[in-house]
Amino acid sequence: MERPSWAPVVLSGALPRELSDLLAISILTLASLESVFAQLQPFNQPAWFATLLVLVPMTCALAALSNSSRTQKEELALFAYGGSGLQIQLRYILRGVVVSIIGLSPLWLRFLATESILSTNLGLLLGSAIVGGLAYAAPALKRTRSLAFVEQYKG
Amino acid sequence: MKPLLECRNITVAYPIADGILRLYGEGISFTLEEGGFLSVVGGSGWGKSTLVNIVLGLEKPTRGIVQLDGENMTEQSFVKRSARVKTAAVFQRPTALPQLTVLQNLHLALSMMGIPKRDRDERIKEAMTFFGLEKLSHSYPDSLSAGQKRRIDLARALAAKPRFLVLDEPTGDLDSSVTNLVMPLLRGLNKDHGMTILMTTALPRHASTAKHQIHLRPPIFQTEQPIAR
Repeated sequence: MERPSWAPVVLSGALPRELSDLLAISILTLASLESVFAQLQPFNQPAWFATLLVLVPMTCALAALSNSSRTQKEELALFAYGGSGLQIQLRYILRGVVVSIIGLSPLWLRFLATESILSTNLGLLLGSAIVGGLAYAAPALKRTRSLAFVEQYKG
Repeated sequence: MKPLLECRNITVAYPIADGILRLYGEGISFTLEEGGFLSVVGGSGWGKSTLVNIVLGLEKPTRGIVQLDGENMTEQSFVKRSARVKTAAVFQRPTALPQLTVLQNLHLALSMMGIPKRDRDERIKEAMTFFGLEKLSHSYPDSLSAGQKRRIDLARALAAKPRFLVLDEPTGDLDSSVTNLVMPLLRGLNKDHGMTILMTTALPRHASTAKHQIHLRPPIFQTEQPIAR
């Protein structure tokens, strides 16, 4: 007797294979490594900045990829309203910078409370926020430059 | 009358499985004068929407030249073309920002075109009333039907009062009562306000609204390697 099976549905989608999956795995791995090594050695500026420089862009790219169908609707509308690619990229860069700053706010507060406004650590934090903004804009840049994007106007 | 839009020998070749799909045969050429109204007629998949994208600068032709207001704009984007000739477009697929209400979308679109707030309010009210959108002004686009979204797009384009209006199958998704409003409206905008209009349609009865028509031919499929006989 033929019986419907769950296996094809579950197994065909069980293995991570999207870019967003890879980013999520990398973020979790990095956070785990950080927590392991933090117990082994004291605060190390190059190490924490290197970690941020990897973690922040990956997290921002993941955030940008996670709602790409909705953001694509926004992009199509903004182009139709007369917006330029540069304006749209700038929008995402700023959003990524804001996400990074809010996400790293404990570090910002710590350094603002203990160091000069022109300190290296604050400069490094700002640099990582800018990298986060660029990473947030990257998926949209790729999407809006593809021929498949303008095909969306054709219904 | 001087030409507002001039397309010369436009061809498009799409690589597809086992060959190339060629639109517009040996090339399509046409001129749209300032204050003209041209409809592009053709079947589904014949390149009507592609031609709209090429005219707007969203796609580049494989060969050919697009001139706007006497200037070669083939390599220029929609933004640069619109800066030269104020253009509004209504695409086949409705476009709106999902997180904004209908009213907010219209305000955003008009503010992006540089229309001052005092003029925006009046124009938006007028366009929304015309298309029966007053009750939907605080609705979000994703909660609306395809026909309602199409009316929003038309209201946005008309409220902008562009010099050049480009419409890709503007009556798609609309019921006959709204369709019967749109065609006379376009005729009036062209005749009374001198708005230059390019419209695509698959329906000959709608095409006849325009002063001039061009008829597309079906695309040609070519295999990449001619088959040896």
